[in-house]
Amino acid sequence: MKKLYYIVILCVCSFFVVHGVQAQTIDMRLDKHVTDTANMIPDDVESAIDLKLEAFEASTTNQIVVVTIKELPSDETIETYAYKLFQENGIGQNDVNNGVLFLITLNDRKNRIEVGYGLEGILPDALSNIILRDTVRPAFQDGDYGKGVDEAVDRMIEIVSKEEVYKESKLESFAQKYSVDDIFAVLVALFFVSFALLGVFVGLLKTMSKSKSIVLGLVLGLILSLVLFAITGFVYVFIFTILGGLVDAFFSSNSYLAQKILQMFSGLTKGMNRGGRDGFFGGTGGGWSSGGGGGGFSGGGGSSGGGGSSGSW
Amino acid sequence: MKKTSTIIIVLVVIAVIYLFTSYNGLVSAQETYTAQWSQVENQYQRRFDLIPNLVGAVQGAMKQETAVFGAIADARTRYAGAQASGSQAEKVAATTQVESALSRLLVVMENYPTLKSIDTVQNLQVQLEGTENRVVVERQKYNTTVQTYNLKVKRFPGMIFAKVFGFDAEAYFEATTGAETAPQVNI
Repeated sequence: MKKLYYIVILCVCSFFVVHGVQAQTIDMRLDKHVTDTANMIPDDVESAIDLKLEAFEASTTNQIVVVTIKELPSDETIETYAYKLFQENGIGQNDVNNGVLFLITLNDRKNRIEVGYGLEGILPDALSNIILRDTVRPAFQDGDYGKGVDEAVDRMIEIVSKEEVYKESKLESFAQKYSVDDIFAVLVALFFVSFALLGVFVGLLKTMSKSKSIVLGLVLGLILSLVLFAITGFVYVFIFTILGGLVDAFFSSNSYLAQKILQMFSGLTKGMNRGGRDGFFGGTGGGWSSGGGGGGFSGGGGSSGGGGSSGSW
Repeated sequence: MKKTSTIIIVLVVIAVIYLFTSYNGLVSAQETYTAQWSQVENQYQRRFDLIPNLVGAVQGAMKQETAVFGAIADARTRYAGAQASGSQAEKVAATTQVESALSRLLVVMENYPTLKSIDTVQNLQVQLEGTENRVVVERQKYNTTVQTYNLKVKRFPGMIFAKVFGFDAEAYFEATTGAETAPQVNI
């Protein structure tokens, strides 16, 4: 009985290994280059900008994204909101961080251009501010949001295409961007579930074949499978902390192979996130889109360091 | 009997591997947050370097505001001193002082509308604003990396090894009073 007690405790512990503490998220998945939730841009202008940005991404891999929201949540400033939205969607490609987010909140009358690490050199804060001040503000004050956004996007494209994107230092993108834990959680979950299912199955079969009464077999089978379930929990905690260390060591070694694998996985987990939202594995939304292919937007895992500028109108 | 000895050997091997990997995991988590702290300091440095430019651009028009410029000069000297001595607590305190002196300057600048229409001043203000935001972001990232490390140190079963190897939980960066609000600049 005591053993079982320990096993149960270990199982509970193992649960917490997977469920890490999560920072507050805003949970808004972008699937287009222009996401007009505040509905301030006329539809034809919106799709024209969307096409323009898609073509720009296809030819240069730079991701410029426009998002409008009605208003900010009460506990966020435009800076914190823009940063979270940027990071959660991974705007820009993950090794060069060449993303730009143009965020507008209608009721707060605020806007912000958030610039990824890789574009901070070409599009410095002062330049973002000039765009907001000289291009966006006059149009917005006239109530012509479509024009303001369109011209701002043109200015950004013009500026960003002036220069080749340079690579940022490896440390930053590697330590922060690729989440080994994410990959790990998926693997662990798969492993755990398959083992647990196996346990249940074997338990049921064994007891049912041995006993004559089906009901008794079922009850015993359930108890046995629970025990097996607990044991697999224990085994998995043990094995995976070891394996976790090895995997960690491998992926932090910065080798070419490790990077490739991480890229693959970050694509996969992103796809699964998206799939989870609109029907499992991309059902209704048509959320899957691989770089430059069939349209739509899918973040490349780019990162921002809070660069850019905020304005109001 | 052979069977038991094989099992024991396997268990010992697993235990040793586990020991190694958990130790290495702790070390790399520690390195990650140390590296992230240097990112925070990079942004501090950037702000530190921008201040003389801003002061230079506005001092001529604001000659009578000697108290503000005096405070900024003091804070900078103290920050440079802390930089040399190297204690993190001292650096944080000095940074706070720089932040409050700077925000005071920006507030006083509001009284000089002509200053704000000068392009150089405007651009410097925007750059400072941007730096403040970057400081916030990098601090936040620092706290996240510290969290990752602390979880390794405090969670079972890793905490046993952390205790054995002498890894202690690291303190989060808490914004001290006056530092949590970036100086507001209205253009």
